[in-house]
Amino acid sequence: MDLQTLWFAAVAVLWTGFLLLEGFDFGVAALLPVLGRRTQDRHLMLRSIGPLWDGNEVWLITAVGAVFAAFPGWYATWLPALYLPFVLVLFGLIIRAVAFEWRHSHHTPAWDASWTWVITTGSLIAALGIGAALGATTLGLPIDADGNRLGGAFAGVGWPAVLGGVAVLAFSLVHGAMFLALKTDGPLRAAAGTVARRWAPVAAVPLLLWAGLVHLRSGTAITAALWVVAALAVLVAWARIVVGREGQAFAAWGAMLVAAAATIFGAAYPVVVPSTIDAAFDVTIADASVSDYTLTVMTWAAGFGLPVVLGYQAWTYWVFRKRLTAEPAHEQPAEAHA
Amino acid sequence: MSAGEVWTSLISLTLVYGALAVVELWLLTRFVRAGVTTGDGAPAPGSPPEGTPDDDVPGGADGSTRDDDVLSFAY
Repeated sequence: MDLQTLWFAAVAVLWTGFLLLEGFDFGVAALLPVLGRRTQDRHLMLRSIGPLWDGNEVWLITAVGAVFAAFPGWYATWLPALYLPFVLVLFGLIIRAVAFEWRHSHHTPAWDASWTWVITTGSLIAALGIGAALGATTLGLPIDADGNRLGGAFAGVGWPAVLGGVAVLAFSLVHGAMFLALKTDGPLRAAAGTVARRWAPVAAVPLLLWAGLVHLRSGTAITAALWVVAALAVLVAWARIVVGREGQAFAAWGAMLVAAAATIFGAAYPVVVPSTIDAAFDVTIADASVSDYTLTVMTWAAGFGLPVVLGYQAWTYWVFRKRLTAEPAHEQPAEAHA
Repeated sequence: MSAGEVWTSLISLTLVYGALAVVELWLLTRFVRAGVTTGDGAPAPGSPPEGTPDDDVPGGADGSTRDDDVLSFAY
């Protein structure tokens, strides 16, 4: 495998890891108005993602960073084409991050309600916007021969972006509900299980449609098989949540995302930005990549750095592995810091 | 990409960060005014003031004085 292909795969893995991890905290945050109407449930939901959301978000930075470092031509076509939509995503991520930090810094009902609303809104914007960006870069952007966007500031937000946004949000909502069913106990666990049971089959449709479209454009027998795996994983996830096996359901739902993302990136390869104007304008990894020498240096650096990062992130999940209940949290830190 | 897009992002980022700075300064002022000891709390030496925004406090020393049931560190 040449280094360009290796780094394309690395970028695909980073985006998939980001959606897999941040997907559930986007989902939990977006479900706050639905499942968090009682104060104790709301606190439980925020505690379930509190120690994890910012670690998950680092995957977004590494994914975009890897695109920038390995494929500057991809970065320079993709981000400017969606410049203002990306700025909007940044606002979503910024207000969400400060809301997590500030919500507990002052204690009035209005303060609490406002920042809870901001967490939900910021998460919705970010999930929709990042999904839209991924939809656009795999299904098509209106770019010319030089990789410049044709049309106004929001010309990049066509149906591919809408499909990607809806797909990521719908996936995240059920992912979040399954996470809460797995991670919490009491009435919230039951309510989250009900949401997941009711919506899992529907919520998978946009993501499977997106993967199917990329496959139909440029797929192979392997991506066809991956798509079937994704579709089967939806059925498994649904069947397991129906019988209350939350861990297996969460794993199957995650496997669905991994298979769908593998279908999307596998079928799109080696095109990183398809043009909706003319297929001759498509940006490929060969057009977009840095030199072989740079990729070699990056491969060595990542080879040493990545295991460390993966190790400590896995450790944080291990530390915070216990189910949360609405009991007063005073004993929790002893476990958490053990 | 047009100059208008760049101006839009520059101005809107300035406004958003400006608004966040106002809230941050308000919170900082509040915590500074509250002081290290707040009446009956009698915090142990080296422990943070009540309602500290720091979420990295080991053990969440202020948890028991809160009117809600959430430790600051645990959100």
